Amino acid sequence: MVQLFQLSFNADIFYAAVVAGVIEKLAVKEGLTEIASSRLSLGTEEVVAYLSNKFSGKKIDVQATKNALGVQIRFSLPELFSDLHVFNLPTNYRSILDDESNFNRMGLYLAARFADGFFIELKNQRIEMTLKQEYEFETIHKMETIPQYRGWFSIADSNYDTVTDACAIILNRYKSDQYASVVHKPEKLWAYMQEEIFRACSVKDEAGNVAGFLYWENLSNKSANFYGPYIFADDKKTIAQLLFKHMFETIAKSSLLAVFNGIATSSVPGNFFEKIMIDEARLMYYRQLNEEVGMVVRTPSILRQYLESFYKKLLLIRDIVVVDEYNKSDKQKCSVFGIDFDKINKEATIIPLIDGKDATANIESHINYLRNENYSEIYARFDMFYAWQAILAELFYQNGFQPYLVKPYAGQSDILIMKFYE
Amino acid sequence: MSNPFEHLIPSYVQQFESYIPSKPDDELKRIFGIDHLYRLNNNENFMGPSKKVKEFMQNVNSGLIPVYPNGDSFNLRYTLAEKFGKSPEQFLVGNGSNEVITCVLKAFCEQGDNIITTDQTYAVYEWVAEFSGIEARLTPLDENMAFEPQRILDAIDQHTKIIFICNPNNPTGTFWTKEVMASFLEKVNNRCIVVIDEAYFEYVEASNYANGMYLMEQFPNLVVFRTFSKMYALASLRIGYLVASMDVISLIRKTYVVYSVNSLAQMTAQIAISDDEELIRNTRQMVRDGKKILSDTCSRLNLYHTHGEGNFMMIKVPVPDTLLYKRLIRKGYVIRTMTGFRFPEWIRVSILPVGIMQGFCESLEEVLS
Repeated sequence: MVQLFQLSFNADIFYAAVVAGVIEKLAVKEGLTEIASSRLSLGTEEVVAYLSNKFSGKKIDVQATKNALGVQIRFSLPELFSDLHVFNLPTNYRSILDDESNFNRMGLYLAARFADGFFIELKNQRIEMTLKQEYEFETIHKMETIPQYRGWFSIADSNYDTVTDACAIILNRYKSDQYASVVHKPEKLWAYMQEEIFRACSVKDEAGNVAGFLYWENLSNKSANFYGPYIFADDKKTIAQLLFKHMFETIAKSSLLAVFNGIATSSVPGNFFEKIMIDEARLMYYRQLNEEVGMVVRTPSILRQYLESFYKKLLLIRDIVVVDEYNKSDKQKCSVFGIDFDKINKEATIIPLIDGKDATANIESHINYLRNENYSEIYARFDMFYAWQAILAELFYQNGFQPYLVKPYAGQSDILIMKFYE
Repeated sequence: MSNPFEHLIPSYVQQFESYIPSKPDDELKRIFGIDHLYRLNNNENFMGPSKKVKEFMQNVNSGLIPVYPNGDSFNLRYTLAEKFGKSPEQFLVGNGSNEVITCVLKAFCEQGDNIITTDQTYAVYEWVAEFSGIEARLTPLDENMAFEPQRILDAIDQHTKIIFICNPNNPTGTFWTKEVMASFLEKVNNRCIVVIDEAYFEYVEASNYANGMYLMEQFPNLVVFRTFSKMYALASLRIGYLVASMDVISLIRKTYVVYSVNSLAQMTAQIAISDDEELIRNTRQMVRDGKKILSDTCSRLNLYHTHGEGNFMMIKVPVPDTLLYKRLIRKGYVIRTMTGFRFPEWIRVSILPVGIMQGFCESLEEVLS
């Protein structure tokens, strides 16, 4: 991550066009296309205008950075401002539905639509909003002629050419639901690898042809998702063993405690993973990396039975603490939820950032918003280390969400995923 | 929420992951709902220390408690010197081997330097280097799971200060013979310090094993680590030592932490080293018997396993090591998972007396079926 510039100013509509102009020129200079630069600039203008309208005179910090994926603009301001509700995307969206002339209230919504990525988080008692705009990455075509493999297979360096070849063969050999969209753009996959968000390993034959490929994504400092294994030669078992052995050797001394499947192919070797049926159609592969010593999780009583059954299945030791009540006067007036969008699969995950007295209404507005945006699968994610998140899980339950999955060690504690059913 | 003080620590410490030790036995029994627990994970000597040590421990003088220990284990060093035919000044005693590892690293390395060891060995060399901001160069083991001399030699450059050889290697049990070690040391040719960690020396029965104590006379860049935690069964007292030539020890002494070894540990170790014949003989017999039972079971279950030196064996298992851990601990047996050693398909099992090993083998068979 390279810092490009940093500035602070007191929120004022005057700065919206100024900052946006600087961002546009900077983005072009740093290699974004003119269209992408304009989108980032428009998103920036909307955010600054919006914040100026809501928090006139308050100090806002803006920082521009770049990495192998693109340019990011981060806006930061103290969390203590009272009107936290405005940081919920549906709030902005609803303002348009309520009153189409009320454009000055839809800034965050518009910013989110302009940029490739927009997310809100709480860090060190500050609200941070980040706009991301990616470089243009070339889309490749499938490799028409698959190499004739010969000789021994061995682990090889995953350089740019290897990654590109692997992606081209995946496009030939696998159905589209067996790989992530990034496979169409190996340049982007390579950029993720440069940023160490993704790691990959490959197997080659004696002639140097890519015969197998596996990559994994660090979801947090404790958990990762793997994608694959993609195997192009006949000796699927040997190649799968080589790939996973290498992956686990690579992550053995990292901070990771658990590995799950992102997209798993049929070649996942049974000796490396525990298998958990999530529902009739979906299987989760899970590999714990530490020796089980137990942990505390917090839950509302309504979910206790589900958790007990899940932990029994995985032989996990948990002290399950039921937290049905806590002092409501401690709650903020407004809750804030983030949303993790999977635009390709039309899936969205609601992530609680702050609990508040309006949480029930906020859940409803998030559901409505995501439905109107045609998101067919809606999930919510809770870190069961936190009592307030456990309390919120109950509210989500009351509003149509059912427990779907537990990802052990995936957060500060285990992560509970709930799914919305109509 | 990020830690507001994180910026105060060096970047190489920020990246370092802290080690979480196993919980105490009582706590493990409580959380797993079991009434007994056998630790087959720490390579301890289940037989316990020698008779004389036990007698001494039963009559410890409480007058020792308010008085500082001797700062550099004076008496123990003289006993060690007498036993191994060396000068007392050639010994440094530490609060466990980990302290002497740190001591050597601090003495010879600064940022920009590197150490070399293998990627599948005792992890502390690599850890101490990393959290000291020193590059740890890791070379792969050979196809027999042994340190590979040429790969290590190829990794040496002008910034290499220390090479760590674990002999026999924990966890594989492989070892270098006198010939391999001498040839390696000749090729290193005093370009850097070579540490031979002989934590499991007293378990070795192979006659061609490279004893670092002897080789030191010929190769002055050699440092040998030994411990009282394994064969001597003094693990809870935390005491180990290093031996080196006078030239090398005078440099290591600069970073040596004095007064870190308590009086009880010093006195007990002195008794232990003076009365070890019976203990070593009996323990070796226990290990031979236990290995046979475990090896026979593995063969019957078609499980590939190692046949190395030391009071442990590695077994390649057809399920995740962490899953096996969870199943076996519910039967009252704690094993060492090997993913953290970069052996994701293996477990390591310490050898305990025959009766316990039989119970363990039955449980292993049961959980794998």
